[in-house]
Amino acid sequence: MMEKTKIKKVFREGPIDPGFIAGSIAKHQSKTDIGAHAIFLGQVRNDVIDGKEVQAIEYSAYEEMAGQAFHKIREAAFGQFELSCMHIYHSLGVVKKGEICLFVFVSSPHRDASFKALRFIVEEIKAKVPIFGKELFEDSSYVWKENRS
Amino acid sequence: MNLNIKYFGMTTDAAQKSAEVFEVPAGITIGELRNTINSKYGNLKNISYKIAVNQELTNDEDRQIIEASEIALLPAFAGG
Repeated sequence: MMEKTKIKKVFREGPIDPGFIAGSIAKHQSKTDIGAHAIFLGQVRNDVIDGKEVQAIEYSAYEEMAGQAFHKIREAAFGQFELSCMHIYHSLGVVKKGEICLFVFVSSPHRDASFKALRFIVEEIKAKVPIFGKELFEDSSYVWKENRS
Repeated sequence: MNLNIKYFGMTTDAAQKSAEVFEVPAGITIGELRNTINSKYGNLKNISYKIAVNQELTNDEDRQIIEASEIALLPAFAGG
């Protein structure tokens, strides 16, 4: 069953453009069974670590395993919540502070399922998808980022 | 047998590379493999990482690897 379902492409090189997000919303106007969209946008934050400000995060991933992990998250969300559709995009490569690195978009007939599914999907991505991030400083030094639980 | 070892995140810094092939005896356990890699790259001992065999995470250090496989060293995730 798993092998037959197409694994959707999640990764995009560089930041996720706000225009792309707007376009994704517009595309759903033809799907008139939808009553509620919920959107999560992850943005690169300028954390200060040992007195140095993060300028950007450089993302990398174990792409084959990440593709399977995203697929499992999709299947689990569709199994648990009444969803009309779901889209996940995550950046690879350098994303500057203030830019968008994660875009999760769920749609449902009603708001309750969309809110719950969105939370579920974002938490699962943070915990289960092998994505790594180098926090880059102005002086070209870096530290590896770790998600808080 | 040959294991294709892939390094990710901070383990790439410790190994100074992103992939290499290890020749190991068939039946090596995850724990033995971890010791082998850690003795080659001392800095890995200070890093907490999980091991995936053919893209599946394993927590069982006694699990044996019986055929050529893809092994990944996965430190803390940072997606989102």
